[in-house]
Amino acid sequence: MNFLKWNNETMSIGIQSIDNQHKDLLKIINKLSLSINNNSQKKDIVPIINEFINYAEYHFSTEEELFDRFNYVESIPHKKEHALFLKKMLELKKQLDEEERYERKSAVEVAEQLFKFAISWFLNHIRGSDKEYVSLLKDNGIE
Amino acid sequence: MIDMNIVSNNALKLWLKDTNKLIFKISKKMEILDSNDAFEKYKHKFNLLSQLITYTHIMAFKNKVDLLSAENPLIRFTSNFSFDKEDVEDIPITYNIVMEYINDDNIIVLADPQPYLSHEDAKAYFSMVNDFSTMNRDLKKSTLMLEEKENMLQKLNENLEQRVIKEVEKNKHKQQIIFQQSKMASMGEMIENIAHQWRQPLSIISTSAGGLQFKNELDILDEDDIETTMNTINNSVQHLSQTIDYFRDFFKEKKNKDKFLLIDTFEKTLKLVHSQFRNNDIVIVKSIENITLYGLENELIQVFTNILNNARDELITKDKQDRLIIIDSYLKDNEIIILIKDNAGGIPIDILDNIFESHFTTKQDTNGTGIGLYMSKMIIEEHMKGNIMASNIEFSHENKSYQGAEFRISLPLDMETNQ
Repeated sequence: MNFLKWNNETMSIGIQSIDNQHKDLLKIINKLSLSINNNSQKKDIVPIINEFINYAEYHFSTEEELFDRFNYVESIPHKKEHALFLKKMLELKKQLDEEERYERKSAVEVAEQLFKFAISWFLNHIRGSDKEYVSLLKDNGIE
Repeated sequence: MIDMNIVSNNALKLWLKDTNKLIFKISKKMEILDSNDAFEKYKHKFNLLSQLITYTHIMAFKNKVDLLSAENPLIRFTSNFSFDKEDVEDIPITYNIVMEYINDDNIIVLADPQPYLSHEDAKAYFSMVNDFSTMNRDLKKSTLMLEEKENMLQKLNENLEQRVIKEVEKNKHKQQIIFQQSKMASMGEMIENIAHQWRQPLSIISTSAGGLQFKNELDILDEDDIETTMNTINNSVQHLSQTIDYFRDFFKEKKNKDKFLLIDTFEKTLKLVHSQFRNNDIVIVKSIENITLYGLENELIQVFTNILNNARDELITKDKQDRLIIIDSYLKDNEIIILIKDNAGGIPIDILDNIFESHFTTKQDTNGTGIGLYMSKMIIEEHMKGNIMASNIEFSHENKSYQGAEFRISLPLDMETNQ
């Protein structure tokens, strides 16, 4: 498995501090991909989900603080997307702990879903929704 | 005929002829000189009394004769003897005897036969006869009853035989159903195993493809990426295909018993189930003797998977501990002993005796059919002529002590190859 490398041209939104945090996300996705190739166990996946949650907390609060400070008009739908991300993480975490054996997903299955969700988040949210606030932040002097 | 000097009238003659009293004339030398008709039948061809009467009796008789003389002409005595000593069945008769001496060549003997039974004897005899006839009657009755009972018994036996045949057939049918169920149960278990084993390669393929698309879309895809990803996908497909081979081999119906290595059997077993153990952080420690067994290997694999799966089900209900399964084996008296133990705490004591019964399960609400251990016992004991039992044990592993269940399987060795 080849890792996902940062490509400034296609991935950067043009704001250094946000890009750096997005690079963090890419690192976690790479860690996840490595884990899947090594046949992830529950004990491997839970810390990775926690890293995603931790990432979401600091990254989303960074973004949302800026939205509030500059009265970003699309703040509410964007914040909703953030909430969905967190909800998905908690959902996946819960699937590992299902009481009922046949409902319980195997760790690698959860990892696969997590991977799919993370890359589609990267493609759609970072390259979509995030680009929409760039001009507002740049206008307010955020680099 | 008797001397008419003594008896002179016709009436007496007639009496002498018809009486059952024996009247005869002897000499002092015991020669029989004359006799009446009654004595005639005993006399036959003999002329000496000694030839007629047994020795003991003749001596008594002779003593009396010797005592006779002109001065002592009359002697009465009682004796019992048989007048026909050659007839062994002849019963000695008691005679009241009167002897009258006339001269040495003229001694008249009158022997009056007495009924040989006394009155008491006769009474006893008749009551005995009576008893016998009663007994006979009773015996006849009993015989009839016995015959009746024998008939009943025979009918009962016939019924019983039919019932036994029916029951055996029913049982056979039941066994077939159980075999079928067990096949289905292990099928279900196996499908679950396949699902688990396929999960990882499928996830790798899926994430590889996803990663490739991602890179393509974000323009970070290079030749090397395509090459490595394709290799990864290929390897995973190989893995999927191998899994099918293992399971196909397991489900292949082999009817002929064969020799196989116990180590291989465990390897095959673990290839079928390992994913579910690794995914649940269960460590399997094994030390297996390199010996050859004879039988149907797939059946033994079924037994091992049953025991391992049971251990796994128990272990995953227990959190926060090392999950261990330890497989041991050793040789003892032409047998291989295989021990499979876990550290899941053991089998509750109240069900320990029932776990090998068919349809006994503690997992009604999940996946238990109660077939696995029953089948295992059948396979080990009926098909492989071995033994299987379960107990709770304490054991230590790497300086830690644990409690759990232990399954002990003993199998006879294939002597030819292990000598």
